[in-house]
Amino acid sequence: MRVVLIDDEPLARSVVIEYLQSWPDLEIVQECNDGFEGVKAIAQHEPDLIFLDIQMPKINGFEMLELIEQPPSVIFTTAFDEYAIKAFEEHAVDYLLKPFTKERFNKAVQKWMDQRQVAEPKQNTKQLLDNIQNSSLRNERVVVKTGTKIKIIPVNDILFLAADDDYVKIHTSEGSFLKNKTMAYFERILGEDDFVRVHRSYIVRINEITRIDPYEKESHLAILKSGEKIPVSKTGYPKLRQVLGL
Amino acid sequence: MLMYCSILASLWLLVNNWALDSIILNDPHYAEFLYNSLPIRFFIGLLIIGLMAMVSVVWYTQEDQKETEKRKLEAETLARDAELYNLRQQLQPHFLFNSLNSITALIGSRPEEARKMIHQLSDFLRGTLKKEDQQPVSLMDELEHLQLYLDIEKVRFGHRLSTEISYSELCKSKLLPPMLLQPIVENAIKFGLYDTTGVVTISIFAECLENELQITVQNPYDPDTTRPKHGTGFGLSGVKRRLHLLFGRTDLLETTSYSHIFTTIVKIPQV
Repeated sequence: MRVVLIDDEPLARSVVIEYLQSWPDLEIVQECNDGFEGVKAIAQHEPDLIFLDIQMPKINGFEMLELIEQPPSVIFTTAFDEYAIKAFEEHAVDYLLKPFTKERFNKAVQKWMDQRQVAEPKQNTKQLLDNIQNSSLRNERVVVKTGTKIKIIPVNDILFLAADDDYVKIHTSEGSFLKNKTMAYFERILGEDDFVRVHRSYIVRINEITRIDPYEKESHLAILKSGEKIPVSKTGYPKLRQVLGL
Repeated sequence: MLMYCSILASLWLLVNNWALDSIILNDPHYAEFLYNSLPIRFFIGLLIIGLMAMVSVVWYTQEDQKETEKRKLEAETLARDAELYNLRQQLQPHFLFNSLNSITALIGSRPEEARKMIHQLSDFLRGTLKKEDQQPVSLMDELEHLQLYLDIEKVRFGHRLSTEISYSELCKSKLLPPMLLQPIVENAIKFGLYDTTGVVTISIFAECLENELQITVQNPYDPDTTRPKHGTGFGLSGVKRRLHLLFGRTDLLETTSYSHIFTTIVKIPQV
């Protein structure tokens, strides 16, 4: 079975390597220093299990997982405190709080082995990602994949979001990017202070709105600084009035 | 209050009318004069009593105000101390646990280095605990303490982290609040290491200006993915707040970002 280690501290990886020596079935196919290397390595090797640190350069462990279509089983290795990680407890195979003992490590690997017998553990990782927005790790950026490149969009750069089938189109001054998430997800992570959902299919940055015009019966259009016209629904209008203090 | 004063004045008038009547018994002219001057005497009485009432009211209010102000000042001092204490206490548990994890790794492969790191970590923690009070420390002491921290981080991040520290000899004994540089350097490392993937150089240099010690900390960052927040940027608000509480100034911490370098400049007034 193939294993990939993703941690930006070489010494932290060496602990896992040492502990894995008593698991001859598990072969380390690659070690990665950051999430970018991680995405590539997972695409290349399709590992069965990854050991993943959370705080890493450029993109963190969660953001890296979001970029992978079929995420493998994950055991988190992190120095984050228990509260921060609690939200993912049920969906990750396990999480190891650094520094962890060999016994604790073996328990986590054994747990994964046992789960493999019963169910397809990869499903867990999907659920895990759905849970992440509830965590205290507040999003200040959104990571998207455009072709083979990874683009990090600071939340401050987002002008508005529009639903697009199963995707959400993120509009910035540099162009628009698709992300495989729901509008409800973005409504949760973006924070009420800066954004308002004016329509089932639209979330707008409050500061970008220059004017609200009536449009047809019972609906309105929000005109943005960029000139973009965003439909405002019947239920969105009172919300918009409230955040604008009208 | 006017009512109260009027009643008092009438009472006084009644009493002294009766007194005067009983002293000067049989003089109809005087009795008439006494009768005619009743309103004037009433008003004089009212004025005197009213004035006294006013003075005492003002006096008591002032006493009250003094008391409240004193309490407010005490509360503020307490809050300030607590806040300063908290601002200094921002040692990241993250740092501690990751360092311990590195030690775990070293024990197996390079026990000598593990031992060395334990000593560095102990010295660093001891230094942190020792700086319990707000007494200023010399630049030399603060930089030595910082060096311990940087050495530990270097073990953790290996070849990725390098540091440059420079200062003029004249500044060595200049004073600064304890643990002031720590969060600034921590920030620089955090953004340097987590915002780029290459080798990161953190530079720290100190110089003496007129009545001021100026320390500059620089780190690389990626302007495409990180936006320094308005004002201080990069979560340095704690440092800024602390400087404000200590020196009553808000212009002592400055940050600038140019090309790929983020610069934090802190000035410490020398008294």
